[in-house]
Amino acid sequence: MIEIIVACLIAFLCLVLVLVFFLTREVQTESGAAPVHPPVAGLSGACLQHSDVLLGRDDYLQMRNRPELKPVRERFWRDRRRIVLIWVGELERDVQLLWEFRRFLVRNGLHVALQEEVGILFTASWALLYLKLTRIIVFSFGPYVLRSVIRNVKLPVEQLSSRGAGLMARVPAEMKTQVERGWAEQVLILDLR
Amino acid sequence: MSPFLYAFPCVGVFFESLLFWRLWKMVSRYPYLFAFVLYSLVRDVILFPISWYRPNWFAEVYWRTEMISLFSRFFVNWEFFRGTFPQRSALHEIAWKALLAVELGVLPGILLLSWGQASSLHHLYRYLSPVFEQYLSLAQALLLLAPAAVARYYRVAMGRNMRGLGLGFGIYLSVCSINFAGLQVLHGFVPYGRLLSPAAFIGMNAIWMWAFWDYRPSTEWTAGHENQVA
Repeated sequence: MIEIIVACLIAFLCLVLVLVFFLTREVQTESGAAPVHPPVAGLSGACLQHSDVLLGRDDYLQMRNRPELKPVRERFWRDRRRIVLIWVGELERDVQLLWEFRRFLVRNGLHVALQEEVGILFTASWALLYLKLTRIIVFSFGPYVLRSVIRNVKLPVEQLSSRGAGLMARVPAEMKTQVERGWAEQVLILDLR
Repeated sequence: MSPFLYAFPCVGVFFESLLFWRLWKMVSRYPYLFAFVLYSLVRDVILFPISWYRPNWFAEVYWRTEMISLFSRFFVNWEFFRGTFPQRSALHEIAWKALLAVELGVLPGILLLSWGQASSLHHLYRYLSPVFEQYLSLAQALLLLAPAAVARYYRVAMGRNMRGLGLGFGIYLSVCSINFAGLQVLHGFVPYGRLLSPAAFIGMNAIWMWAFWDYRPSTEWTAGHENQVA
C-alpha cells in the first residue's frame, strides 16, 4: 500500500513538472535587439568597497549610550537595515547573473564536465539560499546581529565569480567578441540588470 | 457496446490519422516518432474489424499489441532527446550524461519500489500486470523529464514541435501511472479508470497534432543545422 502511494505521489509530481516545463513561457535565446556592451559579468553587490563601514556598529553603540538620541538611533537602525537589505538583494542578482553567464557559455559551446555543472548547481543554489536566509535575518533582527554571517555574505558570490572567470579563460580568443555580443543581447532579454 | 464507446476510438483514430498526415512531411526529421504513430494507427485500425468480426480475439490481440506499444514508447523518449539535443549541439554530451545519471540513479529506485508489489486487479493479470504498466510509465516519464530539465536549466528554446511532444507524452505517461496506481486502491473507480488512459492517449494525439502541424524545431536543432550548412 505504501509503495502504491509513493508511486502515485511521484507520478503526480511528474505531472506537475511536465506542466511546469512545457507550459511556461520559454525565454527566447535569439533576438533582434540592438547590441550594447555592458561588462560581460559586471557585478554590483560584490564590488562594494568598505563593507565594514556599512556593517560597523560603533556609531550605533555610541548612540545607545545616550537615551536622548533614541529617535535618531532608531532611524539610523532602520536606514542601515534598508541599505544592507538592498546590498544583499544586489548580491542575489549577482549570483543569478553569474549563474546565467555560466549557462550561457556552456550553451554556446564551451565544453564542461557534468560533475563541474552539478558542482555549480549546488554552489549557486547554496549561495541563493544563504542570501535569502541573510535577508530574512536582517529584516527580522536588524543589521547588527550575526555579524560574521552578514560579513561573509559576499564569499559565495566571489566563489561563484571565480569559477565563472575560470570558465571564461577557456573561451578561445576568436570567440570572445562573439560571446560578449551574445551575452549583451542575453542580458537585455533576461532583464537581470 | 454503447455508441459512446465506439465514438471514443473513432476520435482517437481520427487524430492519429491527421497526425500521421502531418508527420509524413517530416518523416526524415522525426523518424522514431513517425514509427510510433504509424504503429499506433495500424494497431487501432486493425482492432476495429477484430472487435466487430472476432470479438473473442479482441482482448488477446489488444493486450499483445499493447505490450509492444509499451516498449515502442521509448522511441518517443529518444525522439524528444535527439530533437532537443541533436548530436551536433553543444549541450548534447552534458544532456546525455544527465540522462545516464537518471537511468543509473532513479530507475533502480523505481525497480526497488515495484519489486514484489502484486496487483489487486486480478482480471487483468491474464495478459499484463497493471503494476508493470504503472512503473514502466513512471520510468518513461522520468526519462522524458531528465532532458526537459536540462533544456530548461540552459534555457534551450525547445520549439513548438518538442514542447508539444513533451507536453502530450508527459501528461499521458503521468496520467497512466496515476491511473494504474489509483485503480489498485480505489476498486470502485475501475469502470471510469479504464477510460482514463485511452482518453489521455487521445489527448496526447490531439496535442501532438497541434504541435506537429508545422515544422518548428528547437533552437539547438536549427543552430546546429545552420552551422552544418555554413
